[in-house]
Amino acid sequence: MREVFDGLQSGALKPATASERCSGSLNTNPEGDNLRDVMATFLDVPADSALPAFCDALVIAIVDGRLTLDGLLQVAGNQGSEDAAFFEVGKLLRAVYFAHEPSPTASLKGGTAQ
Amino acid sequence: MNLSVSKCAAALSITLMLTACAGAPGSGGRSLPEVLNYARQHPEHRQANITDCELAINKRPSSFPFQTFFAGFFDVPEESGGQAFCAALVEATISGDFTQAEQDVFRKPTAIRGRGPMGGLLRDLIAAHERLKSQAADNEGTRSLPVASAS
Repeated sequence: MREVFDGLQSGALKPATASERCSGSLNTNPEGDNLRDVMATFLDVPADSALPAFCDALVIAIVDGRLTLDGLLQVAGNQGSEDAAFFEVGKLLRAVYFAHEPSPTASLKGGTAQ
Repeated sequence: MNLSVSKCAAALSITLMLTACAGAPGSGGRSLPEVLNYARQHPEHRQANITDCELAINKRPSSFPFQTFFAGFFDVPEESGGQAFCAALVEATISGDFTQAEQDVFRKPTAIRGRGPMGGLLRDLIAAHERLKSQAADNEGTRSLPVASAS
């Protein structure tokens, strides 16, 4: 995690390479199917594109500085309390959403907020 | 990292279980499904629906740190996470983004409905939250516009 994060931040690791590694890792993870199902609807993409879309957005969020290494390590369960990890998971999902959909208004369906 | 994300989605599914038993009978408050059903019928009572949603969430025992997760998800202070969730859920419901059919899917066990509905709900929630934020900013801007004096 640290190596990938630092590589992306420094430019030593190409975003496309990092995203491919991420997808490859998730594809072989037993929980990858669950994540695929959540991301397909969360990012509104076909199921077979969900993990690559998630990884692309995650990499963009890291490169853009929307996510910190400490936060990612908490999500991964490598440090911090469980509560803090849930905060970081929420933050990560938000960052992934906006990295995937750079224009917030593009995702806004017609609402009736009063 | 993916483990925590799916764990989170699972916990959310359980917490949100939009089933009829979400509210304790006789407790005086409405269950979350009842709140959302009422919101569809009476969108004019938005604030009351948000308040009832918070009551329904708070009385439901859960190990899922709701406030904390939604504080990160909506980028709000931790103490506002639950309120932001309910405001977004009610907005998504009233706007029709979160439909009755989508709500009813949550009655099914996760093993049957899968994780897809949760991702869709999270998407509806973040869109609703951003819409409310944008409208609040617009209203604030309108209020702060200099008033032209009648001549």
